Amino acid sequence: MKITALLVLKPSTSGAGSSSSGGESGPEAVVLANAIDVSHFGYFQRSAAREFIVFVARTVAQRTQPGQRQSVQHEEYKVHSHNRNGLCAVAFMDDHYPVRSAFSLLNQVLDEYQKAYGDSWKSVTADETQQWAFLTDALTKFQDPAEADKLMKIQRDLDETKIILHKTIESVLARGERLDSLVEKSSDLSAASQMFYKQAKKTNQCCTIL
Amino acid sequence: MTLSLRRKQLDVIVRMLHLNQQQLPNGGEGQGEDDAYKILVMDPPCISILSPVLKLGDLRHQGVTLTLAIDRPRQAVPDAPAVYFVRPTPGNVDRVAADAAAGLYGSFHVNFSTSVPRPLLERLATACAAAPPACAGRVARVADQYIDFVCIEDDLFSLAQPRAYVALNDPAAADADITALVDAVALGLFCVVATLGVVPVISCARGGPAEMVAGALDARLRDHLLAKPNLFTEAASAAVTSFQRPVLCLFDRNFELSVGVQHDWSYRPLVHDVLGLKQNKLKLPAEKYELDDSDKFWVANSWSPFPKVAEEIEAQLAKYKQDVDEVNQHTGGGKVGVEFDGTDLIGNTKHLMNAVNSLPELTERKNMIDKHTNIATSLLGHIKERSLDGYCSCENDMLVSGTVDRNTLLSLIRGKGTKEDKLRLAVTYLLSFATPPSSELEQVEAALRESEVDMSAFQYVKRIKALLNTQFAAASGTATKSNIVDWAEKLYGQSIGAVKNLLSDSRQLALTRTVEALMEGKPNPEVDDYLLFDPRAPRSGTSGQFKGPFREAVVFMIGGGNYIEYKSLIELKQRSQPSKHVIYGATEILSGAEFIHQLAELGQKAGLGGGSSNIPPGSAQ
Repeated sequence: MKITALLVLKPSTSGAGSSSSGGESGPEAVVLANAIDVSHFGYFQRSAAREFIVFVARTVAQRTQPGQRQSVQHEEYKVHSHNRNGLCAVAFMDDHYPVRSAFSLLNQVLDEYQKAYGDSWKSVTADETQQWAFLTDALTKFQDPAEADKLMKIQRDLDETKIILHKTIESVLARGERLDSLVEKSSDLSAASQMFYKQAKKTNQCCTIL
Repeated sequence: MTLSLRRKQLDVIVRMLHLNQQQLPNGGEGQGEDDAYKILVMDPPCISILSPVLKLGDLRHQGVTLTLAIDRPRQAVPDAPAVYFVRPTPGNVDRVAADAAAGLYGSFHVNFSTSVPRPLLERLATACAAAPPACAGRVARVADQYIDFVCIEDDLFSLAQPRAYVALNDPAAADADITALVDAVALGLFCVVATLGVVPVISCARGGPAEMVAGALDARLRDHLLAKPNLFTEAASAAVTSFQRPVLCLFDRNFELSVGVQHDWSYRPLVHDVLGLKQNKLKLPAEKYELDDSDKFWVANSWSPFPKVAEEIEAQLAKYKQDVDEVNQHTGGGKVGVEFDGTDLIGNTKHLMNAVNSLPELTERKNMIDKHTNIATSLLGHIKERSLDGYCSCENDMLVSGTVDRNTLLSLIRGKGTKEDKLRLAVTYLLSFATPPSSELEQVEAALRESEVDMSAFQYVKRIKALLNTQFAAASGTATKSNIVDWAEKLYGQSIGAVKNLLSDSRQLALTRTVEALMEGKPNPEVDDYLLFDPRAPRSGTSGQFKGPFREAVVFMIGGGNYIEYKSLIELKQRSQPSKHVIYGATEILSGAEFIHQLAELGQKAGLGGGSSNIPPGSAQ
């Protein structure tokens, strides 16, 4: 499970009805922030890989309508995209990253971006080159999909609790002496139960002698 | 002046073997030490450099009576001079110093194959100064020879830097590793141009290893040219009448990846790929052969398609038998019961003499025919066992005409052939089509898995193919899809829009087309954005750069070359009018199987393919 890139873009809304004007290739989304991990590419491929990712992100963002979520398979990447009121977050992940977690992460990215920058993104017309620290940190932190998905986190916490309980019981059962004292001190067992347990033990001892 | 790299390297070596003294016209008079017999001490890389250029008998002609390896124990020969030819490494320097201190030889002439770093030189000086005075004086001379490359043919060389492709594309490679490798390649190329004695104009594509190497070499040449005199002033004055500067064209293996993996049907590439030709030496199970300029059949037929070679062997055998019959007839060997007639005595004697004179030539021809019969028979066995003709044909269809018969492709992958053969075919398929249909691609992948092929190399090429498209699209200055496809097709060597080579039915490689365009120097969309470095020009000026035409070129492939590219450049020379001369070199010369191993290793490093790889790392000359 791996995230390769996270980007925030503003799809272009100019000439929504026309596919192209003049010789241009059509409207392009503007990159507002990006964090891209190309460390698994060769030294000379890294800049090309970065360009490739930005290019695909622009393409996908431009084709994600406001209010829409979509996932696009491209080469070995799954590209997830979420457009909320014209602000679009895009993530490049592999096939094993859960889709729920991916969109939960994109939601958080959009929330944090609006907290940090308000509505200033609406007037941006050219790519931003300054790094946004939250996005860079998120790229590292959310390599683990549980960090992005609260339900998954709770589920895993419950699993761990069960494991702890099992260990506790097992460790107690491994020491008979402690169980004796536990029986003595336990206020949950009635006096009759205590008497029964002790007599049972004595009977066992008598049998051993015989 | 035609550049012959091997001739130049040989000249340097011969001068080195004559203790780096100028040859006097009257030979040995007044040159006492030069007359003496010498001992030659080398390390393994320098043995590799020397062996294609000089045979043992040739060494004896140069007065070398003993050839020894530096890292083996050696007996003292106190009255003979020793010529050392080693790479400048700390180990070798320490060895030389120890030998001098022990007084092993009468005098020491130390020749480093390339530039010796100052710290090493000081290390040698310090060690000699610490030795007894009589021994310290034995080191007569220390020289940088700048011949650290292996000349396989007159116009084919290798820097013998193995696995450069893996090192350059390794995701884990640090910047320092990349820089060190680029500097090593630049130093190797410096040795080549220093040996040639000419300062080239350097040309390369933007971005990638080629530009880095070009910059490093340009800087090194500029530094060197500041000194007067330098390695180039003597050569320039000697060749002033016909002086012409060559263009050095630098390429990266990713420029035309398909050539690195494809199967070829010519004799020499087949021998290299299938039987493992190494430095013009061939080992078959029963025997060893040398395939070089002394073999006239090899010289005449090594680039022919294999079926023509087989025909030629038949023709040579028929002619040989005919000549033998003729000799037998003239000497009377074929006649039985004919009475001896005194009147024919003189005639018979003449024929016998002719027969005796022709025996050595006939024997030599027989040996040659036997040799190539054995090689061809062995090749034929492999061709049948692996269906190599099918692979060649299918790959040729894909690369030349851009078409593929799906059934043929899938049956080859499922049929005979080594796993490397199938991988090479699949990779060629990937590179031949800009966007193969996904259903077809899935079938190819399924067939590969069915054959239990390790998918690392295939997945790696799949990934970098997208990057190559992006890279070249950026280079062409446009991002539209159609242009990406156009560039991809051109750069993958497809013949769409390209002129077919009239001299043979194989396609003209993108490499060859680009080299031709660079040599012509005319405006050409394919090469207009190439960078030019002129080490002689002022650094700041760009408008006055000389853009050609060039009559001489050195073509260098970073990350591994092969005989297919060499052959294509030879064809360029042969059809050019007026004549052009091209020298081809690479970091190493690789067969298709060796290169596919490197791709697989990179796939593993990039985390593709899954599972552990049991493919051994490829070796190369």
